[in-house]
Amino acid sequence: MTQTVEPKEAHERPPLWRDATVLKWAAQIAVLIGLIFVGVVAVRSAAANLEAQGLTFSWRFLSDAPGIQLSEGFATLPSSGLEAILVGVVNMLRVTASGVVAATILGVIVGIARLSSNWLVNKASTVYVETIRNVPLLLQIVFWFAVFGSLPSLESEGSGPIEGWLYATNKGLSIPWFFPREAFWQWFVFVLAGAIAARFAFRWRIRVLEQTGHEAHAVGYSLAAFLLFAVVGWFAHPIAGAMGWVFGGLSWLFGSVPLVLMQFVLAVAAVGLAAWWIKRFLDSLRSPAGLARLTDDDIFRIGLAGAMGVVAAIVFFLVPGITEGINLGLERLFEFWDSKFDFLRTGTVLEFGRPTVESPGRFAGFGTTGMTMSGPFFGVWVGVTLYTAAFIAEIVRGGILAVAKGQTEAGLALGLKRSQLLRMIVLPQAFRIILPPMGNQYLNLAKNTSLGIAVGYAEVVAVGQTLFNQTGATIQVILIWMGFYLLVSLILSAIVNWYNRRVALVER
Amino acid sequence: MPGDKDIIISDGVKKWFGDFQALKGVTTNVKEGEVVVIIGPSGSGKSTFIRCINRLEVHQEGRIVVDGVELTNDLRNIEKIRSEVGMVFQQFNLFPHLTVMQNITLAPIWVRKHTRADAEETAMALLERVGIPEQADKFPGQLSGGQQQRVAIARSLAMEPRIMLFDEPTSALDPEMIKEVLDVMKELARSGMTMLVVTHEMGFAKEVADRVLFFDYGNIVEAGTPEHFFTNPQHDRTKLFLSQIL
Amino acid sequence: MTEPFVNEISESEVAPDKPSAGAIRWARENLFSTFFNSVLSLLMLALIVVFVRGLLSYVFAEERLWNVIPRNMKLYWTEAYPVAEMTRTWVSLGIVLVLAGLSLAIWKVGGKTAPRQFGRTLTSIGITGLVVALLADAPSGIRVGAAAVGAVLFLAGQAVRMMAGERFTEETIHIRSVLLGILLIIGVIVWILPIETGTKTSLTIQGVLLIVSYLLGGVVLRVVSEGLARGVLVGLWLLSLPVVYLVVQRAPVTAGVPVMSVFLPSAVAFIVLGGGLLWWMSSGKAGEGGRLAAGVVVIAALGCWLVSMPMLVRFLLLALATFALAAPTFGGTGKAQKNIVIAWSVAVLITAYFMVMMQAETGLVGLQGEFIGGLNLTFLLAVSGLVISFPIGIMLALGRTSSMPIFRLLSTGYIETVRGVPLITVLFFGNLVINRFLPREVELDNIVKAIVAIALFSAAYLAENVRGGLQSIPKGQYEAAKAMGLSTVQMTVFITLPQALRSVIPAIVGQVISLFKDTSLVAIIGLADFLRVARDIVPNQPASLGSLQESLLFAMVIYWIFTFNVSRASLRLERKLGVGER
Ligand SMILES: Nc1ncnc2c1ncn2[C@@H]1O[C@H](COP(=O)(O)OP(=O)(O)OP(=O)(O)O)[C@@H](O)[C@H]1O
Ligand SMILES: [Mg+2]
Repeated sequence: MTQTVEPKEAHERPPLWRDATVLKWAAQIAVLIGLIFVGVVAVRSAAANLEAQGLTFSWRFLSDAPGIQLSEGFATLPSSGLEAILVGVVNMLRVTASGVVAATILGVIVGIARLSSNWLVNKASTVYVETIRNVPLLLQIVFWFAVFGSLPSLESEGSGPIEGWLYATNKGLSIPWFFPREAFWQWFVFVLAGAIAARFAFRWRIRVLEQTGHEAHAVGYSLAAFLLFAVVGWFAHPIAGAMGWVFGGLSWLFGSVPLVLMQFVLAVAAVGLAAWWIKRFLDSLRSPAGLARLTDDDIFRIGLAGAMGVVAAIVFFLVPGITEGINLGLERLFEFWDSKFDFLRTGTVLEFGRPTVESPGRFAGFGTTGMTMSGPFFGVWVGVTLYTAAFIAEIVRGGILAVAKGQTEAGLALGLKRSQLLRMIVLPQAFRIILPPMGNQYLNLAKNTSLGIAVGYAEVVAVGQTLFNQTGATIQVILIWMGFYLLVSLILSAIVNWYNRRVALVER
Repeated sequence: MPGDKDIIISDGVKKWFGDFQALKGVTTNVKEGEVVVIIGPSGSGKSTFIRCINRLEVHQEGRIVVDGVELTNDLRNIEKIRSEVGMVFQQFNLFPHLTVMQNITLAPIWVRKHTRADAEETAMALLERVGIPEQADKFPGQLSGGQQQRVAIARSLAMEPRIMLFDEPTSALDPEMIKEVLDVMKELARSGMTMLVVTHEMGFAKEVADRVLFFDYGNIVEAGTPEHFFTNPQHDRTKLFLSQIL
Repeated sequence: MTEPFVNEISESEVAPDKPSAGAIRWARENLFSTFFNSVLSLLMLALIVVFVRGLLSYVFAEERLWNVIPRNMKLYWTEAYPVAEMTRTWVSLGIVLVLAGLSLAIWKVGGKTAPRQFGRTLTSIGITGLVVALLADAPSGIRVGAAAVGAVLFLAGQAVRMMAGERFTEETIHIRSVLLGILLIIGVIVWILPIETGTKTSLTIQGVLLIVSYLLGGVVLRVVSEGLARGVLVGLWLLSLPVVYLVVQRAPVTAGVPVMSVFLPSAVAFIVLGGGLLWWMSSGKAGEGGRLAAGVVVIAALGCWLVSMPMLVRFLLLALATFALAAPTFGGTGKAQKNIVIAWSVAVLITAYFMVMMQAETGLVGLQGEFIGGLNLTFLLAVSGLVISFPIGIMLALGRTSSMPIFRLLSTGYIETVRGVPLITVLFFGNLVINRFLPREVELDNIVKAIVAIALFSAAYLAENVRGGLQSIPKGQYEAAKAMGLSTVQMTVFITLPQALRSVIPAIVGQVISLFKDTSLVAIIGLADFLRVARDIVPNQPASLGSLQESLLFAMVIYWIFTFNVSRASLRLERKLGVGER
């Protein structure tokens, strides 16, 4: 073969302004710098604006007494801004949790009804979904709140439906309930341990089943383990007070660790994270023969990751406030938990309470002598439940249909009955399809509880608004809101991702 | 017939996908007007090689010079090469949301900056050349596979390329459609187009190829005229491969 | 509920085809097929009867103040808009209806429906009427009326099926004649309801306008080509938004605006200098110099927001940056060059005109607060939120799917942050905080702030939808486009985006619906939108006290009508385009 290659020159490099990779990165870096610049200018003008209004940007309002009253929650007269926000958080989680449960139950029922061959059931569920989905949620919440307002008023005698046990009035729906008391958390340690023990017991019995082939009563064993711990804990809870030492120690640790040390730890963590990413990236390129061929693009990426790590590390040193905040937060958190425990302290774990009317229009000890659902809670809860259930129903329906299409014939061909088919083949598979979008709906529900502000339900957003009206800390409160909801989203999507990975693993 | 000028120079081209080396130093030159057929077992790097020639893949070592222009990160060169090298894919890759006419005239109008009228005239002539002028206003989804591939060829030709790359253009087609596409390609070869064709159609190789390259494990194992190649192969790998497919 | 339900939905949705003998069989198959099913049916029936009866007695109860609603139509529609200037809102509605009529004709919306479908719809409305008459705990007048109307419709439905005979499944009835019929019925209802005569007349005129413009559309289609007509109409739709809200309804007084000293000179300067620049950049010979120039213009366009200068200049620089980025890719020939410069001049003139209108004081007198409210404001928020969020959403989607890590990181960060927080926090951010971050002389209007917040929020969700579409495009499409020599911008504009958008139309419509519903949240930050009028303003009037629930129910029905019909229309479109579940 004749070779007529031109004289071999060095691999030519084009001029910088025509080099595709260089241009690509120049554009990116320019945009990044531009954005940082815009950010800096915006922050400075915000500072100037605040100064002009005689305000300063500070987080003092979190520790100062806010002088506000909240409509419901564990502390209606919060002693600090932080406590006020915590009341909001707890209220938000309460309505979210009960909404999730109710919406799931209702949604699954309606979703299955949507596929029913019974014409009436089918139509009724369709009407439900199409009505609820197409009306703004806020309007629905406001409406249910208004409906609540038209319930009969609370009198000291003769309010019902079942006096002393169940009230449905415009001051609240009240039912009997168990309330945690001072020793509750000490007992709860045992309950947690019981849950872990139950899990081990379950695994152990399954192993026995697999090895011997005999019925091993896995569920029974795990239930027994759990109950054992719960019962023992009921009496032995003073011992669990020892947890207080752990929390106290942690609290002391974060309170007394020198700032510089903590900064150093965080900086090392940031750089370490970047290094870990770069290592993983290089590993993904490395050949068995050690021939990692880095393109210009790869080099820029590695540079970017490294730069981000170093910048984060420097920020930790330049802005000690971040580290201080983290330290203080952790110290307080553990202090709080420390206060719930006391070695060998005895006390009531749970207390049973019945709704009691104190005077016309007033329940005695709102929410402590009976579980009382207030009007705002009712509005938000019914609103988000009905609304989310409509969406969950569609997800359930879609999931079942998706599986049913292919698998029904196969199952029928095997001679399964339709009910068996549903239970053994369709539902388990549909479950996998359904769960991720379901997680999304739960997240939407959690975010939608923020509409409680329109009916005066004291959740995070409403509490925050009261707070900044009082203190003028608008920007700070909005940052707290966003941080809180992002945290909730992050946790929920982490759970969904974890579940997806598990399912994927099983399928492999 | 091939001229004397090297229109493609490939010198020690190496290419890695992560840790996998797909090309291990491919060296070959293609003359103007030459028809080169590339064969070889699956995964041997045939597609990767011809995709390097219009920089759909970026080679990491060695040099590729197309029509006197070296392929580097230089934006100007990439633009120039892409508009001078046409490519036809196994899966046609027509744009489903555009009519046949729009598929063909898109690049002439926006890259070559022809007027719409000129571009449509050329497109009509090309459709005539590939034998489906009546399909101009249909959408790709309404055509048969063979027709789609002929539209894809017409679409490439509309850019008046000096080199055409074919990556298994008939592999996704039913037997009766293969012929209509091969006929178009033969006619194109006779008209003096420089062509690099990856194919398993040995009849095509025998009839029109000036040279056959046999790829294996990212290398050219054997190269030569079709007569030499099919009657008197030198390498064991080549013999084995030919015995399997002939 | 573990009985058979794995049937395809279509199977179970089939209603009785033949009324008499078939009905029994139908009932046996669909309601009483098994013992369990029969029990279920009876239970459900009981439940439905109780619910419907409860609902009807609620609706027709003595103490319901339904007459509050027609009396307060003006509040619902525009809230505090000055009564003397109401014509302006009618003109706005007229503009929209004329465009709608033209669009219906030019896009040939409609088609035909089968007598079976039509008859079934009539019959079911008729049955509803009869049920109302039967179950309602209402004055006998209402019951008799409902029974009469129900019976007539029921019989009409049966008649339609009878007359069609054998051909009852063929599509022979024009949807547009059905629509015309509905329009006429609405006209009759309007004249029966206790609303002011002026309003009645105006509404009638609007209806006539719609019909006339529909007919006109048919004529237009005979004269000009379909493509041209559609292009012009899209342009008119886009223009109609600022025309309706900035010019017609806001009634600007331009006396105080420095048109001659600032606006005209800047516009001319931009046309001349910008036009020259674009002419050079689109000549195809600018090369790297052109790229550099585009970069400079982009930096200027972004940087100008940080220093104080007239708003007009900022917007024009932004427009120039867009044009400069597009010019090298879409220019090249003499004709394209000329087109780009012409388009630039038109864009400058339009921008300048609307900036003048925006800076002018409103000429409306006797107005407290914002210049519009009610349903009118809801539409303004939804439509402008959508229009603004669209380009942002597409940019974010492109950024998130791009191969450039910094862009990907920034887009992903933005999208995930916004999707992680509730809209109300973004609205508060817009309402209370945006101003603090802007230079002191910029003072945004409350409505503008709400629009910005809604658009920024919606863009993140839109971006996720578009990303889905982008990711569904096969790799071969990109490769083919690159192999043909298209630049990245050309590939995006001609190949990937059109395909991506088409494949996610259903998702985007869903997003539009939730955007429309979400606008109701502005009530919380104090804007007088439809929800706020229905909740706070109407029921708190001395004459309407105690009508809160009625008012809220009315609002629900109105929201429902819009969203339900949009989602139905999207289903039809989906079927027509053949996209859908992937
Ligand atoms: N984008 C990619 N990422 C990773 N590996 C790739 C990629 N493209 C190709 N390869 C690998 O490179 C090798 C060569 O691929 P190539 O497509 O060139 O083979 P081929 O000779 O065209 O085979 P075939 O006849 O099957 O088309 C294969 O082993 C393939 O797995
Ligand atoms: Mg290949």
